[in-house]
Amino acid sequence: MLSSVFSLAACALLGVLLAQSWLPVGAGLLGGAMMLGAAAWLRAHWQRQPAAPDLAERSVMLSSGCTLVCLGFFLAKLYLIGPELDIHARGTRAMGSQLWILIGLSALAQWIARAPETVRDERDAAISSAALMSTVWVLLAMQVALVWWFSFVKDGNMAAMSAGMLVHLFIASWMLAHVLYDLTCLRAYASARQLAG
Amino acid sequence: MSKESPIGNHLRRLRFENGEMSQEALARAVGITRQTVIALESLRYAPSLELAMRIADVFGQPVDGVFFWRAAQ
Repeated sequence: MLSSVFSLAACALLGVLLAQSWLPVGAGLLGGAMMLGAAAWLRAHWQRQPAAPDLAERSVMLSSGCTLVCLGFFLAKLYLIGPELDIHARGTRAMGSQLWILIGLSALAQWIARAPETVRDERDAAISSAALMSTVWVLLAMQVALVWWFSFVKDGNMAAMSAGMLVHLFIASWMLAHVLYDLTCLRAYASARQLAG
Repeated sequence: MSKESPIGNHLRRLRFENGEMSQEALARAVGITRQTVIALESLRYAPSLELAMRIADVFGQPVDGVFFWRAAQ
């Protein structure tokens, strides 16, 4: 369990590091190459293990790791760009293109590490729907908090942010909700495994 | 998902009586994962009616020969 927490934290940290401007190559390509390498390694690792996690758990593990890389990159970039984000500025366009490259390569990484020979059953669906239900409530709470923060707390908050930044903050909340969904599923799988001994 | 299910079962005994069938073999026979078989045996998951019928079919038993309502015991 602890190793999973460290792995996920490392994914988020990798995303933050990818947002730094001193990188010699594009963040999308570098981060994507790392995700593809990790996916290939994981696939080989799981094939060697007789008690490897099932397909649904694997896909949630990969999805959470990849989304955390993208989210770490996205939030760090937003922080670096600042509240006056201009959609048409060069830096914002570069962030958008790098993020799309990251998302595309993360989808490829998840496809590489998939295990088509295993099945997804009704218990996986039950775990997924329970996680989805709690995620919807958390997402709703986040959106209400954002709207409240923009609108009612200190008059300056809304005015200090560009429309582009407001939109990007909402996008960040959706990405965060996706991570929360994955983490809730992973927690359910981990506790089931623990109970089974 | 972690509360004990009110639906009990004889899966472990039936597997043993059917040539010591492994959890993996049962999982494959009914199209579920081994983790789900483990969850069923440890009463951490209540199966759908369809899954209960498919499992009973594998052992050639009626559904109530495999699953039972625990409050009744």
